[in-house]
Amino acid sequence: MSLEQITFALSKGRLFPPAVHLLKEAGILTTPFEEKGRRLVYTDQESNVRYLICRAADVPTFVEYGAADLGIAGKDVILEQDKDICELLDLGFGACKFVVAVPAAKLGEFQDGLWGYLARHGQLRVATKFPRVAEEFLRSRGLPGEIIKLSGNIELAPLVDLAEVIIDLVSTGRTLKENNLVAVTEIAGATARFVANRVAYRLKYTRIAAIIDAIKAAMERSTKDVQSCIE
Amino acid sequence: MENSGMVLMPGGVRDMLPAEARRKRELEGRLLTLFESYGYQEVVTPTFEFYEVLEPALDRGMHEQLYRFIDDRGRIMVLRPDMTTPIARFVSTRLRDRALPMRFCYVANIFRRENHAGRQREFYQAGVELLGAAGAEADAEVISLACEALRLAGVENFQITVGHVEVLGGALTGAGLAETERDKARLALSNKDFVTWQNLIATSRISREHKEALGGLPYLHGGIEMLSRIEGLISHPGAQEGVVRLRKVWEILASYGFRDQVCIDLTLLRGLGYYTGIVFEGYTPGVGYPLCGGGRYDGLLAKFGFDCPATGFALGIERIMAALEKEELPAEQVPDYYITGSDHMEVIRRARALRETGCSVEIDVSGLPREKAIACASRRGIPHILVVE
Repeated sequence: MSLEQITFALSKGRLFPPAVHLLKEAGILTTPFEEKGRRLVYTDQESNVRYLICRAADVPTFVEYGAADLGIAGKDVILEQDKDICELLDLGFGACKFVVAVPAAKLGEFQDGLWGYLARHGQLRVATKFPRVAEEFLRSRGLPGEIIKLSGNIELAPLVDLAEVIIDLVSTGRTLKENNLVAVTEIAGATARFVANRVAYRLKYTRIAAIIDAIKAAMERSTKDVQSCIE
Repeated sequence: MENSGMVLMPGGVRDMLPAEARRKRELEGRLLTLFESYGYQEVVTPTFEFYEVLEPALDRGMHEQLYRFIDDRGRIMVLRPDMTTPIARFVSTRLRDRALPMRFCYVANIFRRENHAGRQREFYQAGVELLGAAGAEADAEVISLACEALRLAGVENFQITVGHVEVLGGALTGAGLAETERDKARLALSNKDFVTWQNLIATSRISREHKEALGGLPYLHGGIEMLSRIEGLISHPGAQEGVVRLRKVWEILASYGFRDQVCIDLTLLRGLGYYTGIVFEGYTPGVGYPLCGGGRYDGLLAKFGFDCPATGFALGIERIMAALEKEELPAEQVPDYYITGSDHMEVIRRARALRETGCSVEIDVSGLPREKAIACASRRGIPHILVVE
């Protein structure tokens, strides 16, 4: 019996090497991707899987609309976008976390937390690339604050007095350190997730269940290999 | 910005051009005829109602999606976010004395502040409500009617997934999870976040057998045989009844001839707190969101003071049209006849005579020169062009 075709959304970037490694180990990626190729669609004849190469932040969108049946997306992206998709497995790699960070020089003012800071200062402005995560965080703590959405280089905001604190995604913490920022609160951790379209998960269940099992088995076999791939 | 003659439209609403509007009307007509053939009578409710009347009965997740406004006396109004609640409201307040069961159907526009794929903010639903019948026969009738409706609409390849909210709840209680854990677990499943679900189960204090069985639950999907996999877990009486109900519904669906189209998935929840028993959704390949959904909501009418079991479903009209668009190209209607002529009275008379025979007829109302009118009509592909002298 021939295998039902599956469309799989992948993103180049941070998650790409460990994702490719895992898919190879699981036997659902048999043809090599060109390292610096510009092709956006690859078809793996042997496993009958079509791979779409898209932006990391777009993987949940392709999956939500059903343009892709499956995908690998960071939990950070999923948290920020609140898409209606199935999160099937925690793949473990690509670990990073959302943190609240403040300028090292002003750390003293945050000694008793954000509420303490607010008790002494009128305002709390939060610069971030992740407005939904930031808003959710402020709301869950009951903190009044203004969210300032930036597209990158968030670290700049406190330096030029655009914001008192930042909410950003950190993996090693190096960027924070280089900009004299210190994490004061951890909001949530995030790793790569294996996600599925909610309809495809049910209509292509047999095939997807087999892929889940293959990925789980590959993860158990090669935890070490994947680890070394992340660095 | 260059003025291209476009007028701004809010997000989530849309125009339908003639071909699409015609397909929609035609689809709705066929669906209503089908519902009527099962004894469901069409009802119409107001587009907006008092917020305070509907609010206590609405699904918890619905509140942030409501369109509210204030009328000239300062009262809060809400645009209907579904048809089930208004129907429950009027049955509870006006039709209490009628013999049960009651069967109602509708086609209506619905308003929700949605941001997800495939969801407009104003969209159309066709659906049925079966009120006052608590048994598996009622559940099965509604599910099979959903199957019939999808088939009738032309969606050949579809699948209905059926679950039961009490089975899941009972399995969680039976395994020994505390109430807060159960709520978190249900929320995770409702968000289809199986990772959080597994972490919750893995870190809870329940037995290993229970952990294994519950942890794997979201990955189970199939025929009635999968129920046996969790039956051992269920000591909770409500959940046991749920399993019995699922088996019964499964059997009746086979009599309707829909067994091959139905799958069981115990993690299907369809929101929290609204449904009380059987729930289901319908899918088709190539459309990334459900075409229809429904289930049993025995607690809803009681919120209007009338304790009455109920079940029903709604189909997304635009979603079905999207599923069909892949198969056929829409066509705009062309009339059967076009009549022009110098004697307008005679033109009208001829047109009326033809319309009485069931033909669609367009007449010239622009006073076009004859050649121009004929050229225009023939360009549009109108099969018969009459010139009345």
